[in-house]
Amino acid sequence: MREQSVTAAKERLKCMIHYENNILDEETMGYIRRDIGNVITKYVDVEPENIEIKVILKEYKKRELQCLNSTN
Amino acid sequence: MSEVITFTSGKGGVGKTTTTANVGVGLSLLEKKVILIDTDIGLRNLDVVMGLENRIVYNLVDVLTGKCRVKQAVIRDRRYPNLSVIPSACVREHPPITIEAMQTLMEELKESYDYILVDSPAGIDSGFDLAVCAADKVVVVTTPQVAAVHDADCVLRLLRRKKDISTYLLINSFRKQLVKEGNMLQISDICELLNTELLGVVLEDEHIIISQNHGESMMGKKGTSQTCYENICRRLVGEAVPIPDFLQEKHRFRGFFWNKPAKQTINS
Ligand SMILES: Nc1ncnc2c1ncn2[C@@H]1O[C@H](COP(=O)(O)OP(=O)(O)OP(=O)(O)O)[C@@H](O)[C@H]1O
Ligand SMILES: [Mg+2]
Repeated sequence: MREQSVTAAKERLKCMIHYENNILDEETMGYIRRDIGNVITKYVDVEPENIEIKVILKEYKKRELQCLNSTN
Repeated sequence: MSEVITFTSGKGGVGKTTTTANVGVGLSLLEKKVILIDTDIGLRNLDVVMGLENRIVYNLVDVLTGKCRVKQAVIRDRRYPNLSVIPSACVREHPPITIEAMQTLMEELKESYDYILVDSPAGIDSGFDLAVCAADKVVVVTTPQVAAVHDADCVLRLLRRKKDISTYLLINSFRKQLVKEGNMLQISDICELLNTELLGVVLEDEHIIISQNHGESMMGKKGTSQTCYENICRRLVGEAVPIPDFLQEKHRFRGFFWNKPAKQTINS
């Protein structure tokens, strides 16, 4: 017998909503780059445009994996 | 104190216009002065649902672009003395209207009305910005379906960034039977997923469609949704009305129907 569809709906939504609420959008990333760039130029003699900033959210990656496992 | 309340949603067709119309009538019956504003520019709906389509002279775009005075665009609903509507326009090209003009209009309306209810278009583009630009409260309408709930979350995320706006959730077209069968999200599931205060739940009710065919609201009519709207209105004016347990209520409702004919046979 097919599982009650509400369980699938809930799981899928939980994952989507969690993912989208924790992703860094371009606007926020811009602010982060600017703020961190300002801090770095305080200590290092470098132009802001010569800094590359990358953010890795470790905790988030872990959860994404869990979601994938639970729905498929 | 006057309040601007915007009804919006991510997904289209979830019941914003229906909710705005019925809550508007409901509030006016609670002796509040109410005006409804249709901001779905390009696709007029609110006046049609309310049966006021033949009374339009000027519309919201005319007001916002200075083509007429505010009063000239206001339609008074003759059935409800406390209720008025400013309709939207049926135009293809996007007219040159500004957020500032909308905010000025809202401030002006606040002087004459207790509640200004704004019917927003679906989506999150410029129509959404116009609809929420002067809102004190925003009610995000969703049905219990996955795409609608997902889109509601997108809208709520945008709204959380705005200061001075309180956001609420309204669940529309709730189907008890489907929930019981395990094929529709429960109210508690949706609240948990969207993490927003629940203003109310409106049951799916075919009488809504029938009423709209006539250009009438549900208020004062039979049909399960009427009480839902009434409860929402009472919550908006500050009464503490609990959300009923719809899944339980169904049993009681049935019992009531079964008892009644039985009693009549005994008496006669
Ligand atoms: N609780 C309900 N029960 C049954 N039918 C409903 C209910 N709520 C809305 N409807 C019907 O669903 C349809 C869509 O509703 P409505 O026009 O209010 O949605 P909307 O969100 O304003 O749509 P749009 O995004 O196009 O503006 C209408 O035909 C309406 O009669
Ligand atoms: Mg609509």
